[in-house]
Amino acid sequence: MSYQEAFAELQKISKQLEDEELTLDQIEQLLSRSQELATICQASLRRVSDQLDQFQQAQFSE
Amino acid sequence: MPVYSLTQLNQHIRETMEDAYPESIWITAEIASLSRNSMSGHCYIELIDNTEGQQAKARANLWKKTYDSIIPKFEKSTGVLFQKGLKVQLLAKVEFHVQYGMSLTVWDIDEEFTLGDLAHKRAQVLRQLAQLNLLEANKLKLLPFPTQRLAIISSPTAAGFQDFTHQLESNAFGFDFQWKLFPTTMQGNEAIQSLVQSFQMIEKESKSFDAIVLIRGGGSSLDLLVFDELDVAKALTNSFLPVLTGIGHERDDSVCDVVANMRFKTPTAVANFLVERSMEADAQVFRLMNNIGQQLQWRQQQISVEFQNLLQKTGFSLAQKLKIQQAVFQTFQGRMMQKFGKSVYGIQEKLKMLEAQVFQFNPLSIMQKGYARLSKDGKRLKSAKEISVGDVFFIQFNDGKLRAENKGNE
Repeated sequence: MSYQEAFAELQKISKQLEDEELTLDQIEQLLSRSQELATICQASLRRVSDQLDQFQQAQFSE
Repeated sequence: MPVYSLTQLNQHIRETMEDAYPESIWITAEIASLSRNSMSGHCYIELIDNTEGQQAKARANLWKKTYDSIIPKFEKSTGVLFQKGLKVQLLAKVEFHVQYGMSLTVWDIDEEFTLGDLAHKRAQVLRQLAQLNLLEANKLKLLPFPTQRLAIISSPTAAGFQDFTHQLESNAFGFDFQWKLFPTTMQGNEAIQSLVQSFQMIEKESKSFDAIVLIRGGGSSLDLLVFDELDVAKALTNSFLPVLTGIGHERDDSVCDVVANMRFKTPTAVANFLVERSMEADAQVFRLMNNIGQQLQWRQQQISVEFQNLLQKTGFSLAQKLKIQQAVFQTFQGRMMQKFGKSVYGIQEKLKMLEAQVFQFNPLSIMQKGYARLSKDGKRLKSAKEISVGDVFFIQFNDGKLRAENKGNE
C-alpha cells in the first residue's frame, strides 16, 4: 500500500469518526485501522517500507 | 612614381595604422577557432564576422596575464566556456607587424554582450517550443507527493551529483530516497545526444520513478550552453515524468530551467526541496492522527456525561450508583485508554519531536511558513518558563528581528 493510498483512507476515517451515531466497537475498529494506516504512511516514507512490503507479501502467501 | 620594398610598405602601413588607431577599441565578432598554448598560456583566436554581408576575418592574441585576469571571471559570469562559436565583444588594440601582418591584442571582454546574445538565442528556442505547444507541457505534470523515487540525469563523476545524493542520504529523518543514475555526458560535442538518450531511456522505466532530476556538474564544468539546445529542451518537455532541474546559473535561467516542472539553483536545493516534501507528508499524518485523537477524547467526555445523566434517573441507591459507575468506567475508560489514550499521547510527543527536527533542519524555510524563533541573551528559547515577566527577548522572523518584552503570562 502506498503512502497516498494509506493517507487517503486515513482522511476518510477521520471524517467517519465525526459521525455521532458510531458505537464504541465501530470507533475501536476505525481507530485500530487508523493506527495501522499511520504506520504504513510513516514506514513508506522510510527505509522500513521494503521490509513492510515483504512482511505483507509473506502474510498473503501463507 | 616611387617604388617601395615590401618592408617599406609594411612599415608604412604600420605607422598609418598606429596613427589611425592610437587607442584600444571595442570590436564585436564571433570566435571561429581558438587555441591555447599549454606551455606559455597564451591564447590565439580566429575572429570572424558576417554581419555586413561578407565575412571579415582577423587574428587576435590574448596573452596569458590578460587571459587569467578576464576569462575565468567571464566564464563564471556567463555560465559558458570561452570557446568556438561564441559571440564576443572585445577591447583590443589594432597592431600591424611587418612580418606577420595585422592582429588584435585583446585587453578586455564585455560579459554583457555575450549574455545578451545567449539570451537572444534562448528567446528564439523558447519561441520554437511555444509553436510546438511544448512550453507548459512538463509544468502540467503532477509531481507525486511525496517525491522519493528519482531518475537522475547527471555525470557520475560530477560534484553536483555527489552533493545531491549525499544530501538525500544524510537526511535526518530516515526518509528513504530511491534513485537511479542515468550516466550522461553533460558537455562537449556528445552532450546533446547523450542528454536526449537519457530522457528516452528513463521513458521506458517511467513507472519506477516519481520524477526526473536533471543536475549539472558543478566545479569547473561551467558550460551550460547544452541546456539551451532545442533538442534537449524538447526531450525534457516531452518527458512523461515531471522534471526538476538543478542546473541554474546565478544570472540567467537556461531554456531547460524555464520549461521544467520546477527549477532550482543548485543540486543541493533540489535535494532540500525533496526532503522537505517528505517532511510535510510525514507531518500531515501526525496532524491527522492528532485530530482523530482529539475527536475521540471529546467523544469520551460526552459519553461520560450522558452515562452519568442516565444513572441519575435510575432508582438505585447512591452506593449502588457509585459501584455501577466505577465498574462501567473502569471497563469503558480502560478500553478507551488502551485503544487510543496512549496513541494520542504518543502522537503529541512525536509532533513535538518533529517540530524540533524541522527547526533544526532548516529554520528559514520554516519561518516562511509562519513560525518564528525566540532567543534571549543569544540563546534559543524552548519554553515559556525561560522568560520571566519583564524580560526582554528577541523574535526572529525570516524577514527581520523584533525586540519584545514579556508583559505577563497568559
